[in-house]
Formats: sequence, C-alpha cells, structure tokens
Amino acid sequence: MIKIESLTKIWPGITALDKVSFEVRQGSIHGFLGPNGAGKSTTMNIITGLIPPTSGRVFIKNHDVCKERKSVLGLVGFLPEHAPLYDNMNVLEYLKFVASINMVPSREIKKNVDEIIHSCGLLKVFSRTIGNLSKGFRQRVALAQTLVHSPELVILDEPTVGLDPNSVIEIRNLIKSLAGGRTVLFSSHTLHEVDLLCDDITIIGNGRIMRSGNKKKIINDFQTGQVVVADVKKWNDAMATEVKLNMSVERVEYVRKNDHYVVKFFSGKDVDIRHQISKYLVECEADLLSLTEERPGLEDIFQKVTVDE
Amino acid sequence: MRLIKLRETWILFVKEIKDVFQGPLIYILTGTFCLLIGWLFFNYLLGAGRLTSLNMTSAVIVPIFGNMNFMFLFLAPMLTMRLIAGEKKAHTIELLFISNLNHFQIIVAKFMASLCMVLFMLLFTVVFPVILHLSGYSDWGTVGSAYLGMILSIMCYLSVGMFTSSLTENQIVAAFTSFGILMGLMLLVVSVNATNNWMLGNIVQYLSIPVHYESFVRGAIRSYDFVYFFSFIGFFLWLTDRSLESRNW
Repeated sequence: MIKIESLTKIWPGITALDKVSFEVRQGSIHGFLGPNGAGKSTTMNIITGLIPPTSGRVFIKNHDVCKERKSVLGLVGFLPEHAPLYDNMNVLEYLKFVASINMVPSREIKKNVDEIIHSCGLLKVFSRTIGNLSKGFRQRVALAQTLVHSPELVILDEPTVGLDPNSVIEIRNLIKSLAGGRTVLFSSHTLHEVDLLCDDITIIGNGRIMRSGNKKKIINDFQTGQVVVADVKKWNDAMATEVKLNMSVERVEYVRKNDHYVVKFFSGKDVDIRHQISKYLVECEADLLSLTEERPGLEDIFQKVTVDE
Repeated sequence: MRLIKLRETWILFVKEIKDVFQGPLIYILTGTFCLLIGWLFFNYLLGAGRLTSLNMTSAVIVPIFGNMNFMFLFLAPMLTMRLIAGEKKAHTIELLFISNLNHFQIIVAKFMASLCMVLFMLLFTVVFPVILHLSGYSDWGTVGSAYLGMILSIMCYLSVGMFTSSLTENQIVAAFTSFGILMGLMLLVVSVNATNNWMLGNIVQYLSIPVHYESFVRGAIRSYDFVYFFSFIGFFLWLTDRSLESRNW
C-alpha cells in the first residue's frame, strides 16, 4: 500500500529523515514507533503530501505522492498531531464540510456522515459545538474526519496522546475496528498500544529506520534464548548444578523472595526447556508454586534499538 | 470536473461566511463604522446647507467616500487577519491542504468571503444617497462610480490583508503588517513631491491607491484605473499563493 524509498528531509541545520525506507502492507495495522523528535510526524506529513521530501520517493498504491498528488488525494485520510477541528462548528456540520471538500458526491455525504457518526460513537454529541466537547470526543471527531470520505489508507499521528485511560481504550477499539478493510499506519510512543494493535512495526530513531517488518519476527530476532522463571519453596546450589549438567540449561540464577525462591533458567536459542524444568521440579519435590516463560517485550526492544543503537 | 471545483470553492466560501456572521467581530466593526461614518455624514450635510446638486457632490459625496475609504484602511486588516493566520494557528489549514481544494480555490473562497463582509458593512451606507435624494440630489452616476471605486480600492486592501495573513499564524502581526503596507502605499503619493524626476514621480503616483480611487469618486471611470486595481489585486493574491506554496520549497 505504501512504499517509501530513501526518504530524506533536511531542515536548515537538521537532518530530520535520513534515507528512510519501509513498506506498509495493504490491509495491515502498521505501528510507527519512535521517541519524540525521531521523525515520525515528518514522515507522515511527507506521505500525505503536506510537505515535500528533500530527496527520496513515496508511493501509495504505486502512485508517486509528489508527482501524482491528485491520484492519491482521495485514498488517504490523515489525522495530524494537532487535531484539525473548527471549534465554532458542530460535529455534523464539520463532518459534512470535510466530506464535501474531499470529493464525496453530494448524494452520498449524508449516508457517509451518518455511518461515521455511528461507528465513531458520536451519536450523543453530533449536534454539539466542537469547542464544547471533551478531549476524548474531540479526538473521536478528528478520527471521524479521516474516515468520512472512505479512504483506503488511514494515517494517524499519535491519536491517543493526552487522553484519559477510558478514552484511550475507546480510540484503540475504534482503530482496531478499521482493520481488514483499510490499511492503517499509526504512530505512537506508547509501546503497549502498538503491541496490542499492530501486525507490523517500524521503529525510527534520529531520523533513521532501526527495524521494520512483522512484529513477531522482530521480537523473535531480539530473543537471545529462552528464560524460564520458577517460584519454588526449596532450592540450593546442588540442584542448580544438577540442572545444568542434565538439561539444555546454560545458566541458573536464583534469589530468595519472602518465603520462596525465584529461580531463572537460561537456555540457548530455539530450545524449549519448560517441560524438562517442570518435570525436574516436581520429581525433586521443590514445591513448585508457578512456572512462566519470560519473553522480551516491545519495550525492551524499543529501548535496545533507540538507546543502544 | 469544473463543477466539482466550483462546488468545493462554494462550500469553503459558505463556511467562511458562516464563521464571520456567527462571531461578534463583524457586528462590532459594522456598528463602529456606521456610527462614525453616520456622524461624519451628518456634519457634512449640515455644512452643505443650501447647496445645489453639483456642489453637493464636492461638499458631501467626495469627502464622505474619502472618509469611508480611509476607515477601511484600518478595518480591512481586521477583517482579513484571521483568514489564513487563524487556520494556521488552529492547524485546520492542514485539513484544507490535504483536501481536494487547491491553493487558488482556498484563496478565491476566502477573498470572496472577505469581500462579502465589506459589502455587508457598506450596505448600511446606502441610506446616505437615499437621504440626499430626499433633499433633491440626483447625480446617481457619481454615487455609483464612487461606490465602484471604493469597492475596488477596498478589494486592494483585502488582497494585501490576505497576503499578510498567509505569512504568519499570529493574527495581530498579520493585521499590523497589512496596515503598514497599506499605509506605505497611501503615503507614496506624498513622496511624489520629494522628487524632481518627472518619470519617477509619475511611476510613484501610478502605484499609489488614492490617485486611482479619486477619479472614480469624481465620476471618471477610466480603463487605466481598472488595469491598476485588477493588477494590484492579482499581484497580492499571487503573492498569497506563493506564500502558501512556500511549504513546498
């Protein structure tokens, strides 16, 4: 759906984007991750044609955004970082206005706007002035304006920033409901959100792409080996040595926590030691309380990629 | 396609008109304008006393239209200051940029909306010719020409206001910059006296707005002045387009 090739943007004295390249699959929800000032908004503004790149190209459905802007216009719905809302208009008026200036035929405007009001949960406030709405509802209206002309691609720049937890969940569900029919590219630095919503991710830092691709694959790439954590009542050094000698365990660490021990078993990559460990702990009567596998989260990867690299 | 383009321009124009008439600014400005110009008209009328129709033109029509034009030097920047600067401040300009509207449509819709505001304000001054008619005045050609000249002159002010509004997101800065440019153009005619160069004097005189406006007030409609007004408006609207385009530079 989107193909970005060697995108570079240089502001006077600052290279905001340095040869950025990645792709967004059709029908996917693609998370665009990066710390503040990494170049997320700049990339999104270039994709939507709001600003031109210094060099490089962006294709949306094989149309070059810079050269064939007209072909791209109706395909994209964009929610910028600052919601573009007219505070003096009411919700219905505003959505009709946005639909009208986005090539929606007159006879379809009412139908589109009605549908969007329902799907974005704006039924309660459709006749209210936007300036009087809560931040959650304002963001919903802003999201509704990106969808009112039925675009195939929806680009959302930090759509949940500054919202209370309930509103965040509502907006997140709304984004989830877009999956399938539309391609969604959304930026965030809330990793939990990206983890919940996205199939694919791109991590950007200092204007350069750090990682891009399938979320599971990226997480897997960062997994150096399996870590199994067991809570047991009994544990000692002799047991640790026995485990290391008889199983595919490379290292064992343990600490005493209140009335039990927390034991960590480290194995090599592509080896599953859960079965061996659980069997051993039961057989040697270590009084097993719990057994879990520790996986690297997106937060670990994000930190590793954006800080370490 | 052309119809769709017209429809989109019309939609933005209607939105602008609604914005203006739903807010208090236009009513405050219209009220102040009517109060001041009405008071001036009353004084000119008193001064005119028992004058004939011919003298009425020079004693009432010429000064009152001169005053109206001068007042719009202050009012036009206030009417235009929010047109683009307000959109930039509220980030709604991005909504227009990624829509199907092009710069030309945005500029035309906003310019026409600001012209409508001016026509609304001028509507109340129609009462002056009606009062003159009651006292026997009948030189309607001069009145019509004066209105035409004033509207063209104010369109020039609006085009400058549009341009300065596109330069910043601060409405106050836009208004003061616009006022500064307009004042400079007004004072150009004064600087004619400072030069002995005939050619330079004529060029400076040609560039000054009042020189062209005055002939309209005296009932002289010349193609020469139309060329000036339309090139002036076109030039500043083109500058506005360049200013909007500058995000792509």
